[in-house]
Amino acid sequence: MAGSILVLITKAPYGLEEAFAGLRLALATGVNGMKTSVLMVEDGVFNAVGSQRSEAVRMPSNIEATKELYDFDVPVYVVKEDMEARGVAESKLFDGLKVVPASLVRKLVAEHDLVTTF
Amino acid sequence: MAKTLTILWRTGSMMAMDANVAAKLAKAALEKGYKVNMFGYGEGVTAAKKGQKPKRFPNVGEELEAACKEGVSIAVCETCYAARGFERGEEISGAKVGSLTNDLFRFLSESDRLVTIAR
Amino acid sequence: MPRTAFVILKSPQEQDPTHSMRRVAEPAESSAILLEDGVYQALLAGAAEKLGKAAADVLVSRDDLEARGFGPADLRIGRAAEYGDIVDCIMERTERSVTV
Repeated sequence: MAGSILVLITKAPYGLEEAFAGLRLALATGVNGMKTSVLMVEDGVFNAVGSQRSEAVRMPSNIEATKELYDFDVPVYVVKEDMEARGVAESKLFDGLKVVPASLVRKLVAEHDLVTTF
Repeated sequence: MAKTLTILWRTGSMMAMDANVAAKLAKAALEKGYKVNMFGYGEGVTAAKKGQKPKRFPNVGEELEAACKEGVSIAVCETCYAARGFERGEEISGAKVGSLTNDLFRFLSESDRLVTIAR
Repeated sequence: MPRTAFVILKSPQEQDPTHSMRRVAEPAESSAILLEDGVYQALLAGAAEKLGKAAADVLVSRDDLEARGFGPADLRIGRAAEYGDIVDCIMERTERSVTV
């Protein structure tokens, strides 16, 4: 019986529905009280950029979808090395995100019963 | 009590074999005595549409329907389903057009393992 | 005992899964399950050895291997596996599955 889930977001926003879909899944488990965490890795770190204007492509905002998780105490982590590799400075992120080193990924995975990848 | 496996699949019916692989994995797990749930999300919902008639490819709708008959619980995301123009009643027999909040959450909370089949 | 089963569906030209695998788990605690084009990961020189260093156990879907014109003798790493064995790996021999 699973009591927790880690949602890995590996894809950038808007070109694919994956990142948004992952955030909605996290909302569904978080709302129900399951311990849920989100980890933005690889191209998924682009979802952390604060200056996104999703309305330019008439898509729902991944920033809003992320911030909705905060109401249910779902932490959202962003891997620092993947940000650096993609030229995303920490000062560019929107508020509430937790920047973590890649070395923390194993610990985060081990703390959850289930893992899913988007 | 038998352990439970949930398979979350997100690839559509035809562009890849992912949904077929998910159905095959479900069947193998069922044969081993596990309880199996499957949830179709995003493009994955297309694999649970009834009436698929691929001329030369394996019919994943029929594979999923057979899995349901054998005891696999299948649900698909209603929002994703409606987004693709499908209506309730167009799903394969035995599958449920459901939601992340109710059906997927229930599947996950009773699961010992989760396998994601997606690109 | 391997604790994480990594599900790999893509060929080595499309994806190097080992970077993500190493981040998530120790190689000694990792199993790799190769399905669909993932089977090419065990066939290609370089990629196969790299995968072998990232996972203690490599299961290659026999059906997907044979469909693509290869057999167990062509594997540079791991072993051909039936779906029942893959299920055992997921349900009994590891604690969680991660798709990379």
